Amino acid sequence: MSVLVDSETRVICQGFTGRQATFYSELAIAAGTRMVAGVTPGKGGQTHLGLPVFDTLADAVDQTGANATLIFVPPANACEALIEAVSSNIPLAVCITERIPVLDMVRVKKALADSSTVLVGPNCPGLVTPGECKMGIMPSEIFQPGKIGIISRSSTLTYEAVAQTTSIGLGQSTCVGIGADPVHGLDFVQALQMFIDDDDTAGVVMIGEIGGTAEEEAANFLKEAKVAKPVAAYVAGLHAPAGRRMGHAGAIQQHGTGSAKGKIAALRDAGVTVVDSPMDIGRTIDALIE
Amino acid sequence: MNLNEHQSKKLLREVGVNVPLGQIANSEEEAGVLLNKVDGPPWVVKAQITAGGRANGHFLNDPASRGGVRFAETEQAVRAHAKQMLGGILVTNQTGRDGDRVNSVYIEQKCSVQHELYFSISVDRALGCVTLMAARDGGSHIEEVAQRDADAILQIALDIGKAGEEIPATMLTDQQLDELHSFYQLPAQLRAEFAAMVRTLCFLFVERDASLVEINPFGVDVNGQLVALDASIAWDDNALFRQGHEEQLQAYADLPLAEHEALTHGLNYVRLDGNIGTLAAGAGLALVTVDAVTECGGHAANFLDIPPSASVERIETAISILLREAAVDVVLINVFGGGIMRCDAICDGLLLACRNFPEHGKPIVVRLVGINSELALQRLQSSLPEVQIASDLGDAAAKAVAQAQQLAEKAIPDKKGWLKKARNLLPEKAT
Repeated sequence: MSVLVDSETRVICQGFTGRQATFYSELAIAAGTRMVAGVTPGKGGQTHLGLPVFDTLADAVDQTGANATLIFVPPANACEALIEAVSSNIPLAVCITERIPVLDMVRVKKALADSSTVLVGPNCPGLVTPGECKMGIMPSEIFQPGKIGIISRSSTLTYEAVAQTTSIGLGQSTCVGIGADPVHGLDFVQALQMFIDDDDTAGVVMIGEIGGTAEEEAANFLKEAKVAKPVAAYVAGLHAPAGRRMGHAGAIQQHGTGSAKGKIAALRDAGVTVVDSPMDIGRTIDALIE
Repeated sequence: MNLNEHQSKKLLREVGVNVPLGQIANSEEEAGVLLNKVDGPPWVVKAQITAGGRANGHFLNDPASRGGVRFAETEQAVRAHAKQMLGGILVTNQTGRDGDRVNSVYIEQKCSVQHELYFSISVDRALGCVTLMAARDGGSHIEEVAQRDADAILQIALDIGKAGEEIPATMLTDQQLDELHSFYQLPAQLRAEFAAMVRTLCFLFVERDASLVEINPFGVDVNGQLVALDASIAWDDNALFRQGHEEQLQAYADLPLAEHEALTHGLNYVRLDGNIGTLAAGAGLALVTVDAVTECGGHAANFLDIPPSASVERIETAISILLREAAVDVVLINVFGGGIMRCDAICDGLLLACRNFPEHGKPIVVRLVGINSELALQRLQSSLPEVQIASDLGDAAAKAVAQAQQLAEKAIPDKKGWLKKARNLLPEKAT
């Protein structure tokens, strides 16, 4: 078992014929992903990478029975593509696009409230169930099927955690990059719940960073849920200088949260083992699941 | 993109919000001359930085100095304040310890309101919605007020409507406006004026892709009119493609070279106060690189994150920024190649940067792992043998810090070995 995606996941790609989408779709197919079609408005009827291209997501889903969409649409049109995905109620949408205007994400978030779609991202590296399905831009070669669930706000630090758990021989059940945008889909709490419910996941690695309240919310959740599975975490940005900020609104909303120190304290208080260096993630989770 | 107070007020005036009429001055002389165009005395002279907390701040070279908002009764006093503030570094609780340079002052008639009210519109990241926040006790202590008593803040979620459609007229309903009006305890005769102001600000926020519109404080002046005494507006940089805010484009043009280069090439660059220039692919890894340098006892000169899709030319630009930056003594490059980011592209960018600026003279430490790292390291060793190759992040940070320390030793001749002795006397670094 795994989380969100497996060998049965039938994937379509929105923005399919673009440069990045083409590059990563080829890699996804090579990694064993069941890519079934692509969507690029105006290019319906063509064939790309040996797969049919459709004008709309609805057509692609109708014709191919796809149950997941990978979105590479550039920022100017990303909102439209996301709304199209979310309002079709496709079970999973993964958005890699970075630099989407935040008000567009507010609009997507509202559409998400009336939808059964799970959105991962935007501004994220996507997700991988090793050997079964890869939706996104993570390097396939560092993964190995295994028993660690990885949830991360930071793309490149995800790779560190993956490479370490692979070299120790633990491998990964699924690795999910939830993205770094202020308004996004899947959060730590929802992802933690999925890994807790997943029988094949023996332990979870969580990678957070400064800003927002997501790590504090995860800490609250873990504290109340009294989870038996071990959780190791790393929070990036301990030595980042206190950021220049403007106005009071953010501070009022955050109630004094958001610093790396505060997040680390909250996670430790919830029983999470927080490592000081990202180089210690692998051996720490290894020791915890012994 | 954060706007200065004077830019924010200009915008407010354009959309019909009442603000005191002021003038912006870049020199003491200008402050004196422009005073003719400002009502008063009394006047207020305000340092123009984008961070808040100016009144309670101080200037970097003088901790006892008065803040960045000062009152004046005479032209001489206005000029004296302008002289003291211009060119100074103002430190407030929002600037961080390094402070912000004051390049201009804004002069307006001193104006007071019966009661200082707080108003803002921003994106609540936890809820994922646009939120209007109001407080009856505004002013510079609003954050403490909010900490002490959650009920002191009224929060209203705004419906900004669907993508590609008109902003809904019901973004703020009449009922919500009534609630807001009575929460602020404003006089009944200002109801229409107040409704117009709030609705205008809501539309401004959505229409122009703001990330913050904050008026703190506003209130009722001696003539019974609503007036905004301070304003902070920030634009969402991600929406530049559809907004093209003129202040934004102008501000880009005014940036220091390194920041300007970084911004125009889509690189995320933040200057810090150390001497080890860092570069990483991905914001998380860039943060960790700065952390690793600090934990090895060094000081990072910057945070620089290049996107995974960066071309060789953009990588070259990023590395050139570090090679040309005077504050940088050592360059540390930390890349985990994955997906579209290939290690050989980093290597080629580095080779190009060094070829175009061979006299940079800075030690370079490189850690490359992931896609094509072996190819890249081979190429580096044959073309730039002086580059130090590190095996992991800890090793890379240690090597860079050691290089920086060696340079520091060279800078102070240690002929009799005193420095070495002195260092041995220092307490062991806690591990």
